[in-house]
Amino acid sequence: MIRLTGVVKQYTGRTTTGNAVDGIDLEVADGELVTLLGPSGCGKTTTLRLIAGLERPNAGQITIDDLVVASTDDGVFLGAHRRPIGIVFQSYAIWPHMTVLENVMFPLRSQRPKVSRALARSKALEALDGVGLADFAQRPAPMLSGGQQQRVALARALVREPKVLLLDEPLSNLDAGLRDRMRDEIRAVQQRLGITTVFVTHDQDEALAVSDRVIVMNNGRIVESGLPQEIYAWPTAEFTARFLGVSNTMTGTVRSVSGDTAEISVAAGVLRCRACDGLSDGDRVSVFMRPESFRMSRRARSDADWSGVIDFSIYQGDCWDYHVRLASGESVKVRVYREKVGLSHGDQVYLEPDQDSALVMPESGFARRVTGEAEPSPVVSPGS
Amino acid sequence: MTVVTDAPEASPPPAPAARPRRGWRVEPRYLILAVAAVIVAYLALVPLGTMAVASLQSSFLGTGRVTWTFQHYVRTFTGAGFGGLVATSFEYAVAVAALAVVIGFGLAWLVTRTNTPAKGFARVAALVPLIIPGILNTVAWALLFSPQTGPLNSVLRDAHLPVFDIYSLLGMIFVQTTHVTPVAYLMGVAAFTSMDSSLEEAALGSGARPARVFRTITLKLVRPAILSAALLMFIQTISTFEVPQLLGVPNHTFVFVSRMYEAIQSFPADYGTVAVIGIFVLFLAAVGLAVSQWVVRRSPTQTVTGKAFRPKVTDLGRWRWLGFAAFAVFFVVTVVLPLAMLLWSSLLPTYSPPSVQALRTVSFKNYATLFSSPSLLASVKNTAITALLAGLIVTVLTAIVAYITIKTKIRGRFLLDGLATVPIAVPSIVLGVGVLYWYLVAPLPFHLYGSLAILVIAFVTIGLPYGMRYLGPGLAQISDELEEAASASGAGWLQAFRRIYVPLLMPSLLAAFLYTTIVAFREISAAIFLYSQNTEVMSVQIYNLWSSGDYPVVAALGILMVVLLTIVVAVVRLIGGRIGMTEAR
Amino acid sequence: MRVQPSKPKAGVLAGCAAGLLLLAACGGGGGGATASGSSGTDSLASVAKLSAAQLQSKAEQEGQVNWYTTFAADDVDGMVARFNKAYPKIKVNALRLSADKLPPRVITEQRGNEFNADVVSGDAPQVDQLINANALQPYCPPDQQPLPAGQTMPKGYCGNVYVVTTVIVYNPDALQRLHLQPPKTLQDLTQPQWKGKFSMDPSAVNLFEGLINTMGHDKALALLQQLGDNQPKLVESHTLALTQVEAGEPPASASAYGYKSAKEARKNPNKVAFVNPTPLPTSLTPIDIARNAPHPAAAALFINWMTSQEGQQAVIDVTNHTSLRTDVKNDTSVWDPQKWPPAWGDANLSPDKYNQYASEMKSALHAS
Repeated sequence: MIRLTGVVKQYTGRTTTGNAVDGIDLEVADGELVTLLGPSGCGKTTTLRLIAGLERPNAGQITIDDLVVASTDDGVFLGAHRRPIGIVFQSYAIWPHMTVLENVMFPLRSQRPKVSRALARSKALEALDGVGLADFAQRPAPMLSGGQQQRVALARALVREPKVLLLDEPLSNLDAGLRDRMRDEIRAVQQRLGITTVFVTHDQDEALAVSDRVIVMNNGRIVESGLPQEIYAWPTAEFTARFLGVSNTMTGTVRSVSGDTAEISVAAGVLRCRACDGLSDGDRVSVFMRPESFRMSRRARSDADWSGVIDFSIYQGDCWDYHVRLASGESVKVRVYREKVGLSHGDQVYLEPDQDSALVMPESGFARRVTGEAEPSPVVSPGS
Repeated sequence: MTVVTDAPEASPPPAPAARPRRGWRVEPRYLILAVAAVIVAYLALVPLGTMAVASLQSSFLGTGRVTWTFQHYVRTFTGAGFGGLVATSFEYAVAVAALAVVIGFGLAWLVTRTNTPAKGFARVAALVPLIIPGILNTVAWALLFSPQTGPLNSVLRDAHLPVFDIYSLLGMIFVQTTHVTPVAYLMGVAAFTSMDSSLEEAALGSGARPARVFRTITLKLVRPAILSAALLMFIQTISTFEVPQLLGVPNHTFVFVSRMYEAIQSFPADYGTVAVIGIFVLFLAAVGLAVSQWVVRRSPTQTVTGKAFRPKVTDLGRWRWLGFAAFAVFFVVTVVLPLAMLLWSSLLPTYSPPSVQALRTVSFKNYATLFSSPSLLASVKNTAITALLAGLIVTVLTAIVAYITIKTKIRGRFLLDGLATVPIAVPSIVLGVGVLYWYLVAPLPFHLYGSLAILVIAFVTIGLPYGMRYLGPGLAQISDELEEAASASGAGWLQAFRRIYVPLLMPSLLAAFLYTTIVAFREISAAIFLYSQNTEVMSVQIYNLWSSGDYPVVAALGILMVVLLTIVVAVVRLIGGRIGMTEAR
Repeated sequence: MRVQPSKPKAGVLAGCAAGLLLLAACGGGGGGATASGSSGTDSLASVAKLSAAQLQSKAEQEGQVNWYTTFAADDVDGMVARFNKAYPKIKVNALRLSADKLPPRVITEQRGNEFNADVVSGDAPQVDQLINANALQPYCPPDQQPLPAGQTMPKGYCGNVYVVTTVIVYNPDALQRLHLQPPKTLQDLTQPQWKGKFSMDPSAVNLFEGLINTMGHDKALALLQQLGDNQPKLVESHTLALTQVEAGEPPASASAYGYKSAKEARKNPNKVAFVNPTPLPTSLTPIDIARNAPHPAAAALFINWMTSQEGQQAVIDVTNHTSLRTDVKNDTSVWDPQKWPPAWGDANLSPDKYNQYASEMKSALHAS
């Protein structure tokens, strides 16, 4: 189990000083795989490095399995080499002057107490076998492909059976096809070993695919956390919504609330949608719509349809993305599946919003997360 | 920055009795870093400090009352001839820097970017200045171009051409250029190989003629390297001793260094003038460094990717034979002529220009003299000890300092980097005098005067910037994550340094060791003040033998020195070749 | 060069400047302190009272002697070998310095409380300056022959290893090639045909002194100026001047020593010939004990031997220098007071005079 309490990491740049990590509380349960998801500079990598002991927190406490590894109050700080962790870097950081086997043996030969050479060798071979690289043991490390290096890095991280596995954007340097396969492999290994894992990524698909739980970060803080499907379907923060590709944003006013539905009027027309708690008539709200949450047709089906003109279209293979200029002047993105012949610039279209898929949040803040603080300081993160 | 403890950084005051008091537990990592930093700062500041003190004291090292004054500055700057001194020094150093860079980068371009044949010539020639110390090069050229008897002047005379007087400003420029051009060449090779030729191809693809591409793209991209090289040549030229002393002084041509040497040797020594000129030269060098930093920073950084590109080779057509001729001339001028002259004079009982008649007197007597003279042999031993030790110390120190400046965020690291670079701007003469006076007057618990240690200290100080030049970029190329991966694998800092950085840095470490050892091997300007009985080194012996006119033995000792240096270079390159070291620069 | 942010660089220089001030405090403090060191003098006084046998055993106890000397580099080893034949148990550590470098070296060391030198031997004007600077201590070797008539040394100082004469040396082959007549006097070298074709050592104050003592200061200086205007090559030492002539470049020199020229002329008559000008500039070469010498007994023993008949014979055999002793045989081509009356340099030169002569000579020869 990993627990972070009130962790702050300051970053001193040449011109600015800010908090790369700005007061994080976080718990990762035993055997859980948690993803830290966010754009670059959001503090996710710094958080991972704080857990690893590669950075020293300016405030707060970090424990791994009840062992306090960093606490500014108690003046405790264990360096990375004294923490029960294994880490895979974005660049894999395979030591180029060693063979594959030597790379994997290194942790066993470095730790205290030292493992005997023979035992280290057999354990390393076993770990390599686990990632399917036993035949490559004697190869010089630079003579491996990216995917193979990735596996070596994983074997090296796991060979001394750490309590915690830390993965820093492990897939971002791989080709698209290989990326999916490695992602599945990592998940399989993690579940087989039942190891507590923190996975840092900026790729929502990756995060949604592998995680038990997704933690969305921005500006050095946790925006929200939840099950992948929850986060995806019902983000409660504007940031999450935008980050997860809910690209259409409108502002509107609550016209009426009844039961669990509310009517919102936006510039283009009226929307009915599932309400959040605490909305009342007359509230100004932000409305988010996924591109696939519209039904588009060439003829109006009801008066409530929004009319617009195709600005341009992008063919994606399994779908078309249309940028539609609405009569009200706003532009929305609409995704249409299973259409063989696309529309083109200037075509008149009508949009019917899916009633249940609109997300509504009070304009002034986030629904679930109460912030109330001053504006977040500018963040310059060294890592991510 | 120096002592880091586990004490809380921002916490309420600890309850006194709640837990045992924490000691100041110092991590070994920080202890090592701190020690190295202090040593480097000390080494760099001592000569500077001594020089500054001497420039401001009414009578430095005097017996009477000492007052603080600017009189030396006033007197030196307003003195008759100072303007002329500045003008001559600049003419000399600027001409050498310009020539060296034009020739060096031209040859580098021919080697890296064209199909000129026989590139091996240029490669070998570029290494030779490493093994022919400046003083020997100077002596050899003084003999070759001696106005009346020099064999090259005899050739000129036979061809009814005006003779070339080596004892002149032109002669100084020529000899110093032959000595420093190879360094410019190596810097040029580095710049051209690390430059992505797709940038040039893009220009060609945009319809630019090759000449225009060369002018607008290639030259612009190597401009930072050209500037660095020019500055380095300038600083080296303005602060080295042998050429102005051996070729300038006899014909009344004085530059900063020879003027300083003269002031030191006068009786009573004029420390004030020495120090003021020293500070002035340092100031010039600092301004130069600042300007070059500024230009480099404003330049596009694509050239410094550290990746090795496959450079595009231009077909020069028939012109390549001209390039070949350039290589041949370069090789003959930097290697064949000086070495041949040394070899010739080392075989004669008394020096005379090459002739059939003199050929009859050839013998190995001088070498026999060499090997039967205890003081000469002792100097060989002293040189070997001090140079190897200095090379080793510099390598270790600069490895740590480079680690601090590149891999840590410790405050003050740029200051440390600057300190390790400062000695390059301090003329070795000033450095030698500074070191000498410091260890004479400083109330230190240990006693170094007259020991080999004081020579090692001077050589280490001189070598620091060179060590940094190899280890800084070398270290910057190693990703931080390689160390972090080791740390996360349970390796402590020392272990990570030893098992990750040392093997990966080995090429740079060897290059740094090689180069600083060689620098120490040939060093004379500082050593001339620091040797004592029993601690003479070879370069000092050469200078002393030369100034007492013993050319043949000088030449024999010089040849011995060249052989020893060749062995050092060969051994290090052999080891380097095994572990993948590519180019000793 | 690496790409670096500029601000720290500027900071470096500022930092250095600050560091300098800090060091200034330490540096200045040490500089002024000079031990008056009477212990050396005491032990020398006690050494002087010892019998020859006692002195030898004490010297052998000390085991070594540091000799700062202007003996030519290739002569030093020979002298040491001869001394060690007589006293094998005493190791001689010789530091060879050219005449003008000897005083600054000794003074600098002593100012830094570094008493390293035992015996100092060098040209009279420079040794004089060391005496004036209180860097030496008076000592008279028992077997020292009296100085030539009219010559005195500073009070209490007597040791003298040899006399040197400054001659005009030329290369006969080179002169023939250049169609030049051998020079006979310094005045010859002021002629236009010699422009740029001879060398001089601008620090050879003893030559200047010799000229002053025979022709008076103003005439001597005028002669030097004429020589200087004829563009001599400047050389760092008399031996260098000689070997350059031997190599043919330049073909002549006004700053060569007689003893070495004679030696080389015998070996290589086509390359070296010399003229003893009349009168012949001549100066003494004192040998003395340094203040606070670390090995006083060995120093005294060394000087005693050097000035003895045996030592002086060794000087002649090894170096061809001229001895003042009457019981040894000098090279008559170098030294024959009847034929070439010596113009003695002053062995009692005041510091002011010395500095005046040195700077006059330098500026006359355009050497700075």
